Amino acid sequence: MIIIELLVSLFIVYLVVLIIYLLGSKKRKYGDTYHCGERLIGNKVKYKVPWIYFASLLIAFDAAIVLIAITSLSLNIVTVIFLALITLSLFFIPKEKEGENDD
Amino acid sequence: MIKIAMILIWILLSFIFALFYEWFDRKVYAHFQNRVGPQMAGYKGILQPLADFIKLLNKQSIFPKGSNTFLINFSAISSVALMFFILLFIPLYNLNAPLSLSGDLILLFGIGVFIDLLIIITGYSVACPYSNEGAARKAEMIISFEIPFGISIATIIAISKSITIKDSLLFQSLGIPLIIFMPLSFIAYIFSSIAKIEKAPFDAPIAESEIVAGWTTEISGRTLALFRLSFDLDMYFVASFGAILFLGGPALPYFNYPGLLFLNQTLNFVMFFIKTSLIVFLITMIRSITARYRIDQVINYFWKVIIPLAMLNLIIIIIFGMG
Repeated sequence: MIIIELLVSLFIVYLVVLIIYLLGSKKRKYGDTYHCGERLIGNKVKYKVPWIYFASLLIAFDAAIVLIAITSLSLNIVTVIFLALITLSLFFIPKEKEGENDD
Repeated sequence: MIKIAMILIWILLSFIFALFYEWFDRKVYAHFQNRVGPQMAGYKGILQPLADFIKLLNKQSIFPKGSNTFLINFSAISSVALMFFILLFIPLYNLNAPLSLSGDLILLFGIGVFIDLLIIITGYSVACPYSNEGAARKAEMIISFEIPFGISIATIIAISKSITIKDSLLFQSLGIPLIIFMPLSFIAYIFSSIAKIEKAPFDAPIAESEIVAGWTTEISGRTLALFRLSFDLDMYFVASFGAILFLGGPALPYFNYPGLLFLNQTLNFVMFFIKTSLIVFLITMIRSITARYRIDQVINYFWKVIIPLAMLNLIIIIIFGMG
């Protein structure tokens, strides 16, 4: 029942936003990239390796949140140890070299 | 049928609140800078955000050649629709909202992350280096601010022993706001919220003096109108969510006099409105008095200051809860 309620609500909000969108101007034009006076080519930005460590930690913390959510009614020592371990992992983040992160 | 009517009313109220808080934010920000702020449309310029929205909606959309316009428009529509959707879980005048389910705290957190991912998709769908850089910065920001945001929610779950908004409100309706038990989590929540809505000092993804307008550089017309509405809805969401989770929302003090339904609901709504406005004021004040951090400084700040703060509060709560 609740799933149907959620789906209907989602359908209604999408419908409302779609109506707002269709009320807007349909004029569309394709032009050059904004150059700000310089000649720039639209290319992808390269990711740096240290961000992978952060991304891994993000997953660990997100897992912790789910873990806490599930065990919210009976928080136990396993949760505390898990949290302590991922907090400790913060100290092992590789340091960046000078100037490596300059934009 | 009543449920559908309630959903439509909630959408309308969310729209009005979002535009009102944009005006409020702009007005307060202007006063902090010794300016007047919006003043032309409506009383003291209160209709300026609505005028801006209608104007943008009627402008031509211009995209750079090679952009994926389907993904850009899909992201714009989805981000606004999902913002409206999560606002359906926010109770305004009593403990009930149009939608409520077991685990809604986690659901709202998850949808919030998804909306941020839509922004990254948009930035990478535009063939423009400024947009790409804005999207990359947004991705780097997400791995910083989502964690303290999530830990704050986890602390609330740990303290109220429930994963529903209604239960956390019920807990607070007894007379004690959760901010008393978790001030550090509140600080973490406020700073994460500022980063989430891309306001100074965490506005690196749209830093106008560095990357023009970041991921919104090449967005125009009705697509930009929707993205701007999504920003406003996001600000209203983080403020109202914070008011509910930490300050008791409409349930503290909970007016429930028998036979005075309308008065009770009005008073509860006024309490909710005051608390939400206070959080918006706090966010605006912080953004008025601080300068922009570089993206590496943002990451360092969140990982070395905000996350440990949020973790400390969570560990204290868990230890006390276990005792």
